[in-house]
Amino acid sequence: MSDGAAVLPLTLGVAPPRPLPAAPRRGVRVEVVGCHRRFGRVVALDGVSLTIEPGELIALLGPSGCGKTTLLRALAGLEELDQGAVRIGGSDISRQSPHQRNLGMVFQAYSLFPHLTAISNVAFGLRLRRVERTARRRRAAELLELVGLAAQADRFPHQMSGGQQQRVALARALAVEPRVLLLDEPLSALDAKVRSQLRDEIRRIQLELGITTLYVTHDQDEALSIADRVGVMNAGRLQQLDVPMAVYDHPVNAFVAEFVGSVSRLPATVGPAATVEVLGRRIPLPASTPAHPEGTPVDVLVRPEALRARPDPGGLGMVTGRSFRGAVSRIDVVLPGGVRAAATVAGAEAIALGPGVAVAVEVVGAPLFVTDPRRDAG
Amino acid sequence: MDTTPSAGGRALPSSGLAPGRAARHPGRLLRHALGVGPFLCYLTLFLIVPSAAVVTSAFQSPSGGFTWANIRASLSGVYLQAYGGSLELSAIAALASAVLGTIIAVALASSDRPLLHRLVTTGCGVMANTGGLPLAFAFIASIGNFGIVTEMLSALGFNPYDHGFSLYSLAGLAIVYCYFLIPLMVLVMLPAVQALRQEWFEAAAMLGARRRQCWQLVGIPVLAPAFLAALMVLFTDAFAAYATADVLTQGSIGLVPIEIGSLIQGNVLAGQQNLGDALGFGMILVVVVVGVAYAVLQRRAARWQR
Repeated sequence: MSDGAAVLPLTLGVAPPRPLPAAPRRGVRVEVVGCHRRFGRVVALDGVSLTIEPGELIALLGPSGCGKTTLLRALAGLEELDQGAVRIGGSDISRQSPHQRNLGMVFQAYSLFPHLTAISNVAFGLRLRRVERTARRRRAAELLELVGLAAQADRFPHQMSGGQQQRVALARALAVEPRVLLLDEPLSALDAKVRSQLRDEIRRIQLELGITTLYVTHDQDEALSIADRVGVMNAGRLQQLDVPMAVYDHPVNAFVAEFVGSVSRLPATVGPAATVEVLGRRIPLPASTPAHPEGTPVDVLVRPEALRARPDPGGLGMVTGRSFRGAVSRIDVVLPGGVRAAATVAGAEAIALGPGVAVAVEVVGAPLFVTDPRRDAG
Repeated sequence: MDTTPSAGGRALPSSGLAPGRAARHPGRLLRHALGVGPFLCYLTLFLIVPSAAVVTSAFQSPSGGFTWANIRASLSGVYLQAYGGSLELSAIAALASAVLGTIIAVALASSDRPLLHRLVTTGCGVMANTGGLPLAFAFIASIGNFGIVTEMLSALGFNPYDHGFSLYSLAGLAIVYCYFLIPLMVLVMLPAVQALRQEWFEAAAMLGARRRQCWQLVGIPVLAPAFLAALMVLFTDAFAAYATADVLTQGSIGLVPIEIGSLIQGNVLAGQQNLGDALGFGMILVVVVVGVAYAVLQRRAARWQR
């Protein structure tokens, strides 16, 4: 086994899931340094650098084509870099082929070998490592038990559901005791309930093994709920890398603010003494805001929970939609000039805020970000 | 729409019927029967009835009585040699074409040039349906004793006919057969090769497989059922080919279809139609044996598809 590789707890039982142990942090450090990659005229990676600490799970989040999958594939060795380096445990592996890197990877979907049963799929990597047949089947069976599929060992992929297939794919990736686990949108082809269950399962196993993990997703809920840190990518650049709460509450730019979570973009005017006037109310500017001369028109980005909407026959806003979300409801409002905003209200308050109701909207929390007005926002 | 998971994760539209439900519903059963009716009629008229006639005739004397004489004669002398020649030629041509055709299909599937793809598949469609006199002439004109290619090679100091090659031999015929069998293999294998998912190879590589091992442990086993099916098609195609071999060899090489042709046309001896039918019966048996062998192999290779 390679130095620093995660050691599988082969005696684990999984059903029911046990309380999570403290993360043993046995993983290795992964460093990606100054990575560049172009596909023709498209820049997929534009100088991306990041470090994943041993045992840490980083989720890379971003829109389609932002370069997150390219970065993961470059780490795996499935994509060549034009420039830059990948170091694992201090060793530069940039020139190594995928089969030499000893990394585990779970693909988006349908990557199980269709001609092999679940247990043979899991044992595949061990077979390549010439592990004796009995030993590799025992190891594969234990891993299937780890992902809760011991009873499906002899099923072929087409006889299993999408969620079961992805569990087998996870067990297969872990079977070779990889130094790093790479997950490329592993839940995107699954339905919401299975996705949520498997997401928790992945996190539980990752913490139990203490394996360094890079998780690529375009689903912000997934990224924010599973990761130690979240990296937001756009146009081949890593925009922000921080703990989920910081990414949500303190985005470094308008893109991150708008991509992670929901925001309303409201027209405002810079006032005196580091304030901004928005919806007829003067509020302090966020500390990160660059200096603007007084009277400069700007847009402020506000989370739904920082906006309050209340019924008011003389209000300037009108409710256009209401969606129930358990303890709270989201109210969509259109303001003068066609400006759209979303506010979160408590369940009982939402009853009076049906579509067509005139409302007064005010900013009650700190805005996330102040940015130049968007041209189409008028 | 209901979907059923299938190999490779794609979903096939289901019929919407519970298993056996169609069989229990007379009206639906009738509609299904009407749908396949024309094909069943065709099959009966042009395969089952002629085959039954051949089998019956194989055991009849010219006077109409039962006899084993035709079968005995068909398994002796030149006819036995003809079986050997046909089996050898078909096996060599089919196997060589299957391997080369699969390699071409893989190369084509990995190319991202649609124009090349269209050109090759169109060309294959034409070549797979070329045979008989035009094909024989084309080869005589190119690699015959005085063909263009032969003359060019001679000018370069290498006349293949001085080194044991002859277009009019079993090896020469195998080359000619490859002309239409390779394109046929490309057309048959291309969909199967295109269905190979890149993720399988990448997953294998991530698990430690070199490129050769990716093919050995994933690509080839996944392609095996389609390869075996196509190999059988090629073998039977080559085994039954008549016109090209007849034109090219003028009967100088013993092959079962040529022997049957001679007997039925009465070129040598009149009244030998029953012997010709006995040879035909033998061909049917060969195809059945190959079919059974294929089914056994296929059952093993395609275990994961059920």
